[in-house]
Amino acid sequence: MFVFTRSKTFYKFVFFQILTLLPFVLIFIYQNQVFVDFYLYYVCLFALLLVNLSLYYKYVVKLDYIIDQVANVIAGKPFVPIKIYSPDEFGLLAFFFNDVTSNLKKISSVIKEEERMSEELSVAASIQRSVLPKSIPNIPNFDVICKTRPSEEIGGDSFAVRELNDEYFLYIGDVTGHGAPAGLIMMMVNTLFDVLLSDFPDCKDIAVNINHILKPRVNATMFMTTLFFQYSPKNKYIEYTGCGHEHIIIYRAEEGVTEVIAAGGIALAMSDDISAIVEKKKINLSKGDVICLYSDGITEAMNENGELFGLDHLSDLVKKHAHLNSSIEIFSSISDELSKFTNKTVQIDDMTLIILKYNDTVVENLQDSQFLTDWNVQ
Amino acid sequence: MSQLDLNVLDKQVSTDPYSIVEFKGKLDKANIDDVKPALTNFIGSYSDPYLIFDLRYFEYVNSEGIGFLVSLFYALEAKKQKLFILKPQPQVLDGFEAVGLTKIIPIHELLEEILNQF
Repeated sequence: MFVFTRSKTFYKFVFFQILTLLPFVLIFIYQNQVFVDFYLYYVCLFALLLVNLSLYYKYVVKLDYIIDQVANVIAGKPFVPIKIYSPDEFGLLAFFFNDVTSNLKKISSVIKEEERMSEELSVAASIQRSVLPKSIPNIPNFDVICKTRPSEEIGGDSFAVRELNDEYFLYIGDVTGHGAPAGLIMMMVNTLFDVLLSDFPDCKDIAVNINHILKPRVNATMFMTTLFFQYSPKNKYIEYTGCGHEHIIIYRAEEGVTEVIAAGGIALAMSDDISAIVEKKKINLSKGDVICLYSDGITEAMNENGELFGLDHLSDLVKKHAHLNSSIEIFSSISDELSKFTNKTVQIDDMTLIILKYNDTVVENLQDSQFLTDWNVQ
Repeated sequence: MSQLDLNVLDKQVSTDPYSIVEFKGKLDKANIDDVKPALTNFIGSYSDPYLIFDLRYFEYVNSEGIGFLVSLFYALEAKKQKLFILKPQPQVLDGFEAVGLTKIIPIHELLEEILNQF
């Protein structure tokens, strides 16, 4: 770092003036016969002083003034525009200084604005993360893991798991695009899911009513694909309502095959009334079955060659790892394969992956909360 | 960089109550901000009762693009005009069906099917 120390320009100038005058004085003292006319000598001396003072005010004072302001800029102190308008070197320096500092002020204000926005985004991201579950309720017979990873500070993917009157409700959602606009809609849907669930404890009703409130409040270009699930431990099936979301992948343990089921329906906020479009459907379950839910950030994850991860690839991986004992192990295996595929290629979309393993027996969900929600896929 | 060419096809008969806009290329994050103003202005000033988007040469649309098409559909509907989609390629149709776009915007394989509805 350059450390500027102000030189004593004035004193240096006087010192050099004395050095300049010294020969004259010495000549006068020791060889005064050279200056026969003392009057002429003093006139010359005075003229010389005037010339030097004139030079001092013409150049040194201006230079001092410019250097003072440059020093202020470097030190981060307040500075003022240099008011020298002469068409000479000093005028040029002043013009250059004023031009540069004017741009500097503009750049500085842009940087400050960006810093402010960045801080606000961080706060918004923090608020958004706080609405994602830090832990999920134990769902009898199910071993569950849910993780999401936004591509930017704020993401458009979300999920929630709630228990109400011995029934369990889960949803996964993905808002069009990503970033702040998607994040705002995600927050609205997440809140509506919490607020409306007690009044509409049914996977189709909750979808219809969230849509009814959401549609008039969002831009016509935005929508959110979702899948709502409803499960009662007394049943050996799970019910769902699809709202234009990605497929449901189910590994059938007894047959050793995977099924890929289209979610169907229509995305939230795409139509005023979706009650006649969305349906409540049923998926029968057997011991060892694995359900995989995901957002399109997974299947559209891209490697360095521009190839997509793909639904078939994900489905094959579910089949390959479904035999593992826990949902965490299945999740980790798929996540590792995804990381290998993307090979650190920057992903532009949010990613969410949920694995539910059905055990047909009452199991205690032993997941550590640290495994929930935060997902740092490489 | 994705590219999308939009062509408003000449009417066969000047009194036809519809126009056809032909889409060629892709609509995604890379070009949607460029495409939006042109199509939005076109829809804003469009005056015939029917409009047809011909998607036979339309290769790809992402979710943002679908959202934009939905907004155009509602912009026309607000002016009592109707939008039809003609002959989308299978991969585009899959995307439309997945999010439920086909539930609100009619999609047809043949122009005659659309014209019969006028």
